[in-house]
Amino acid sequence: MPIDNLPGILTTTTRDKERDRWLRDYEFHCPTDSVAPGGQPYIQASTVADHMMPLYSDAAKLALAQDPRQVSGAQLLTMLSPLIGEKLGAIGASGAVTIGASTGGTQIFRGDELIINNLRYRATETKLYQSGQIVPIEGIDTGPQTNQRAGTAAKWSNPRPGCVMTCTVTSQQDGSGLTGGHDAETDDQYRTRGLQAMRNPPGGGNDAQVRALAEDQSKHGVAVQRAFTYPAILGTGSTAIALVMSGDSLGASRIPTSTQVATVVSYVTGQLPPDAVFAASTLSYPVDLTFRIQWGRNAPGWVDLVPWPSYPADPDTSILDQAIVVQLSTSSLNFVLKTKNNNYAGVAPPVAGKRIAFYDAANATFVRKTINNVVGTGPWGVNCETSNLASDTAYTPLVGQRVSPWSDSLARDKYSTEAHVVRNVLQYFANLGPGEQVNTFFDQGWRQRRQPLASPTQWPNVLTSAALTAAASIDDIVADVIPIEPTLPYATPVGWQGTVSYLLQLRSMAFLPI
Amino acid sequence: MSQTFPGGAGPAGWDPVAQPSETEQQTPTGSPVYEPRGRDFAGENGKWDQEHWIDQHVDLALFVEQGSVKSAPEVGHTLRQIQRLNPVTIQADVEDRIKQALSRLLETPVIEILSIDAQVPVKGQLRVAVVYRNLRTNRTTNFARTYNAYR
Repeated sequence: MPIDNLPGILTTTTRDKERDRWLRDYEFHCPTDSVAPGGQPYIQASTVADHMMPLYSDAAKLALAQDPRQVSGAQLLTMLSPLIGEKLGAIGASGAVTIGASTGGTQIFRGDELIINNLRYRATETKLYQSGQIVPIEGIDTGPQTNQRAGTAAKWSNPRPGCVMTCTVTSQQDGSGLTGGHDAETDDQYRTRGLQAMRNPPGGGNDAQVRALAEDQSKHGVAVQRAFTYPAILGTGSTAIALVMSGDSLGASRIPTSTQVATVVSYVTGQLPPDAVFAASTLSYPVDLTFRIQWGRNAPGWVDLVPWPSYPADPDTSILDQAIVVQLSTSSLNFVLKTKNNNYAGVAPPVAGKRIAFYDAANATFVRKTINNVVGTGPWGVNCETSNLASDTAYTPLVGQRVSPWSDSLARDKYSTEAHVVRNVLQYFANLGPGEQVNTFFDQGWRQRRQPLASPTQWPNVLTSAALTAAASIDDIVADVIPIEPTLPYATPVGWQGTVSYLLQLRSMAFLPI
Repeated sequence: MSQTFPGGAGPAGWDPVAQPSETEQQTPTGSPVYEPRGRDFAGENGKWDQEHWIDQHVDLALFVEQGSVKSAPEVGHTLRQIQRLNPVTIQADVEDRIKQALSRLLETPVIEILSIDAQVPVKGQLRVAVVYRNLRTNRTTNFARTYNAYR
């Protein structure tokens, strides 16, 4: 057998084979004796074979345990803890509160406790604050429940002199409040971090060490999903860090707040020589996806016999030009639809009774609207039916958003972990990395390139047809799927040297029939 | 068997086949005798008593309870699974179970059953006597055993 055809796993025998080997040897020694079932040699061979099996099982287990991708639990901990330490514990959310204070301000001390929705938080800096200033805080309690919306009321447990007892959670740049609280690290997350350390061993102040420091949540307390570095981005010895957060739930923003970036970079720079490392902003770059899809035999299909909108019948017409989009949206039930290129020749108009779908990014699902009446010949003013829950009344479509025909296969619970075409696409987006900061590089080396380097499996920053098709394909639920928008491959736009990295984030999704 | 010349004594690479030795008269290997009281093989002075392998198969089939050897659960009899020692049905029941335990030997065939006798001498005891002929040795053996602890 050629050596490259070997299976790559430890080959072990089976219990029956082991018994037969014993009997064969026995027969060689005692050719006139019987090794048929029921005799003493047979019983002995069977017993010995049973005794051998745990050894083979252990050997196979140990062979598999050479590969960290195959092990879990205590074995994973034993393998990775010498390299990256123990698993990270649960972390409380971080952010800031806006306080009220009397004239002259109030001295807040590091560790001063606040209560928000019966959960405990503490101030992270000792400083004199004036009324209306923001005070950075972090959770004493841990877990995702410590994430709080902006504007939530907070209360000091023991207000300092001059400090108003109540305050509110400050709104961050992206509109969120306290973020980053999560449960203890799972096996999968721990394994990913360990593999990262194996692929890019940190040490001696190299960029891998910068990333390892930035990702060490146990030290800085910020739920960084992954830190990306741009070595030598502004010349020798300069390294920019762009952070990507875990996100509170699938589909949630992964952009760090300025407080989170400041906390992490302050920790990292404290561990390294001065001026070596600085923060780059990670900015969201919205993407709209459109797929053509054929539902499989185990999934509900399109609810209308003739779904609307359909894919343009004329193959020369680009879907990018003739997509049905929202022109104006006055409420969740009243909006105006149009074709993107304002050309209505050959385009079927919407009719009353058709059920259409919009992607609700905040809840990571599609919502259904049932058309009640249509005004105009294009653009079309659409009013939706509300009786018997025919239409969702909460979500107001965004201007420019694509319209899909409705299928029950599009609906999903935000927190469901079952295989779902929307969930799978979101999962793919949750593992994207930021783009580059410069257009051209000095050489094929690492200078100015994003680290870890992007690849289809390692924090990609290019949407590809292969990856999107794979993400949206589910056995028996999706029979066929073709990504048609944006034009693929779609690379993350280049940011600004040393200051900005863009991260692709899903803004809207649409599915059209094949 | 062959004799190779590595060089010097004969032409290198020449490998003449040697004459075979005289065939030895071989006696069949004996199988150790299973002794159910000690659950071991019988013998003394470090040597096991020997019997023909077919007789050993019969011993193991009728002494060992089926399923008690976990690695070879098919070996043994099911006589202890008789729920009730009914004098009317016991003979037929025991015959069925004995033939099932010896089925592999009967199908080949390497034994022939001459008689099976089942008795209930006292309450809770089953006495079984099997007379069979080993077709290889043409020897007739009387196997008798009392099975205790029936309800």
